[in-house]
Amino acid sequence: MGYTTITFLLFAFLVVICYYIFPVKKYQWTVLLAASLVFYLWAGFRFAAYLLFTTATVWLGGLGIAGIRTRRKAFLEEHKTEWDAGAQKAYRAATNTRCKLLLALVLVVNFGILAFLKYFDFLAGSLGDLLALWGFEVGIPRLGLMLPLGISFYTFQSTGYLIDVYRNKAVPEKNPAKFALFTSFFPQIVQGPISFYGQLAPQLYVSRRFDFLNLKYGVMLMIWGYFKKMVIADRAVGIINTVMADISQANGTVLLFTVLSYALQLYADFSGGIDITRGLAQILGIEMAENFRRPYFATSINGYWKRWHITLGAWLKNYVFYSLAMSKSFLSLGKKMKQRAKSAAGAHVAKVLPTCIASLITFLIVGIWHGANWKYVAFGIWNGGVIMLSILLEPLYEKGFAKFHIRKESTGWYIFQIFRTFLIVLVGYVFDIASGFGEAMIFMKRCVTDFSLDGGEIVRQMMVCGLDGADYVLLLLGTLLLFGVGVIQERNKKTTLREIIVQRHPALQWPLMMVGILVIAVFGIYGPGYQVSDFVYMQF
Amino acid sequence: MKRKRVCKVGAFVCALFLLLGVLAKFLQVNNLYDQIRVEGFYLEPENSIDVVFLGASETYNAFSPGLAWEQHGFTSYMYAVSGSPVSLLKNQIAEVKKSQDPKLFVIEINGALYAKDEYQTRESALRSYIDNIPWSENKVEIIENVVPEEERDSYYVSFLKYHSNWKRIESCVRNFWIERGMEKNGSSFLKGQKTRTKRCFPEDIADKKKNILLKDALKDVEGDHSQKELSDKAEYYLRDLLEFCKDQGMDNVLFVRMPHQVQSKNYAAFQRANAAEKIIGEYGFPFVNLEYEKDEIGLDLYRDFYDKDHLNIYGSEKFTRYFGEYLVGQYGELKRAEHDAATRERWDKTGRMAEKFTAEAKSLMEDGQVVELSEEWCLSEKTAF
Repeated sequence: MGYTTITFLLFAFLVVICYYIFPVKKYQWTVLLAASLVFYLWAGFRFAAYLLFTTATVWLGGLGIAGIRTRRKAFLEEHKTEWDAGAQKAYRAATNTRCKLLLALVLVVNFGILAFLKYFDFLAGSLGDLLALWGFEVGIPRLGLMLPLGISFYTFQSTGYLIDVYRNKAVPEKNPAKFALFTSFFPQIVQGPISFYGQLAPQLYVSRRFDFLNLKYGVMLMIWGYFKKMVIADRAVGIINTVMADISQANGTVLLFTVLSYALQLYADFSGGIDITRGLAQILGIEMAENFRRPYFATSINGYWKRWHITLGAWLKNYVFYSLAMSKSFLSLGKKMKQRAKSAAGAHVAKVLPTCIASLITFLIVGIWHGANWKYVAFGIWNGGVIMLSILLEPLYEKGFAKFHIRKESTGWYIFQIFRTFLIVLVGYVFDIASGFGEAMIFMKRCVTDFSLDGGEIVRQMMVCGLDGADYVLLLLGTLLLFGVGVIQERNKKTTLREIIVQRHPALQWPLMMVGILVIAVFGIYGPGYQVSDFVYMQF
Repeated sequence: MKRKRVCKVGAFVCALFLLLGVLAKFLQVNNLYDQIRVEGFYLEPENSIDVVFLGASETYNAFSPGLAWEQHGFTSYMYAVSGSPVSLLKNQIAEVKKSQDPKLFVIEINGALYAKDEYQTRESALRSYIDNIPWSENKVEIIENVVPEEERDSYYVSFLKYHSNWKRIESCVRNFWIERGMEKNGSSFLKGQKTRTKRCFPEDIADKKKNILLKDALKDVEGDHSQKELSDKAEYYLRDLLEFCKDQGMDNVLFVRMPHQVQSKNYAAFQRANAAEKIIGEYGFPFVNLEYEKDEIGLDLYRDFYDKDHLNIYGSEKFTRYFGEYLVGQYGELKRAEHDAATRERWDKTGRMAEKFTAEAKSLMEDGQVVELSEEWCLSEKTAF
């Protein structure tokens, strides 16, 4: 049941109706659970077992950790007078180890399943290639495994909960049905956002009444999401598919145009999908975490990752980056380097190196999360490497600013930073769209060496990309609209465009919604003759 | 407050569906000529058509209802679409019977003569007909009977298919004005007739690139009664149609094969027509194979065809005279006197329009201008009435 189908819209409509008319408000959340199960089972029964397994193991793991701690508390209370401080500490350490082991077991099993399904073929292929290099021709079979719907998203979200329980940041959920709702909440299971338990779960279980404003805001956000996905992203995808099928047919200018189209398509696709998710959740009275904040307005690559797929970044920061950067080995590395540093530069490196290494590892994980291919490893290293260099070379930059009298607060510098960051992002995207690492290198080389300003040839090549002139005009208008809305949002960070429309220009709200729906209905890519594109991030 | 909000939402939803409906109607254009022909049929007053022609493009290029009225005094309509498969015919008869009680159905069998089964469910032909008929139980039945299951959604909600027609806005506007013109006139001007102002010259038949010489391309079919099997689906649908006509007790059905310029390319269709004749004969229905009557009609293979399958305006003029005479001779009830004054007046206009249409087509052809001429042309001429 794709988000862009009439079936989904009817399903969502029915869910909203049932949710608000459900007579026993205390159990209103069961409507969402039932809807989530129906939604998931719609995609196929066989994958539901994976979701069930993850839900069950993580829920039991959470209860297990809580159980160990409860028993520990009771046991220590019971033996308070008999045990000295040392014995109590030893007992605490032993129980902590048990908790850690249980946490590790659940994480290994669940991430093991994800890794097996997602990376087995890649690893088998890479191992086979490696052995072949050494002269061993071993035919390692490829399994061609299918990924269950949303496995990355529900695995990350549910394991995040378990780590929070382990870290005493979340109270374990006793009701398995409630926990199942947290892992399977249907608007978000396809492509996120990856929610924190403390942020999402309490909202899911409370009873609520219908709110007209939520309906308006939710519908507006969904319309905007559908516009981005169906009018822009699914139109732009034609260019990328056609050009990337054989990049030798396109010159450097068209290749550059292709990666620019990909930047547009990826953003419109992913953020559009998230808007649909958040809009539907808002109609249900649930405020989901923001996942995008105008990423192409970022002035640094670090800033870009704070604006792009924010919830994945937050998850990795909380559960990977901090775990690494704050680990004993990283802290002691920093300490040792500080002691050995003899210059200011050395002191700076010693101070930031643990952070840099943790960043690089985190981005390596981001890359691998995107897919089982060396190009994604390169994608991760590129992003992590740029961030690492920018941190390491910060003192040099500062000197440069002073020497060349660059005012960091000037508009010119601000715009330069945006363009510079966008260029770095585009390089990362080349890894994304290329079929492999080698093709990505050729692609980038040709963007420079085969760059041409022959207008006739560019137009000729673009006209065989599966789009006609009207499509290009529509894409251009769509891009301008996205940009315009982005500028308004950048200037009004404390509010949303929807609030601006509803509160400051209430007369515009209904006509705008009407026009939005009609524009999607007429200019959207759907119906027979069109291959409905899945959301890009569904595959991750 | 609550009521006000419900009213607001209700008004919004109503306005939205209204606008979507208008847009859907405006953007729904497939084959402009077929669309106008099919839609025009529903503008005809009830029980005013004597002869309904069913079939593919052979019919409406060959026969002129206006000239037939002038010459023979019966009313007729070309209820046909380009490339119409035989799979549609049964429901087309049912559809016609909802508003008309024709004295005769003339069924051209081209739709049964294609080699591949897929032809029976070819989207373009199905849509040219199905998407242009009004909603009814019969329409649902056609969709369920003929359209492949995975494609049915967009027949039920045709906006799914046609929303992207904003790229063909010119066709949408043209279609809109032709529809309005027909509505203003009260019915169509040409009753489905269409032509192309072209002759089929020998060099069109011989193909130098493929090294096909004229003498090898053209086939003399005089006395040739060879047969070739119909495709499985074509035979299934043809027999289904014949069973239907038999069950309905229809004795007002005439099956025909229109004259063609038989070449090596369409010789197989000629042979299948002979096979179809045999099947039709099994059910006791009459069949006239006009392929064998080209000399009697007076058709010139080059002058009277615009391509191997279709008569041009010269051929159409000859064919209408010949076939009209044949019908009146065979079916005595096709008489002018049976129509009331209003109908006669309306059809006299149609007759005059058909004469002007024929003259215009001939004139364009003599000038060497190759154009499609149909209902749309009449809109510019209607002020003459």
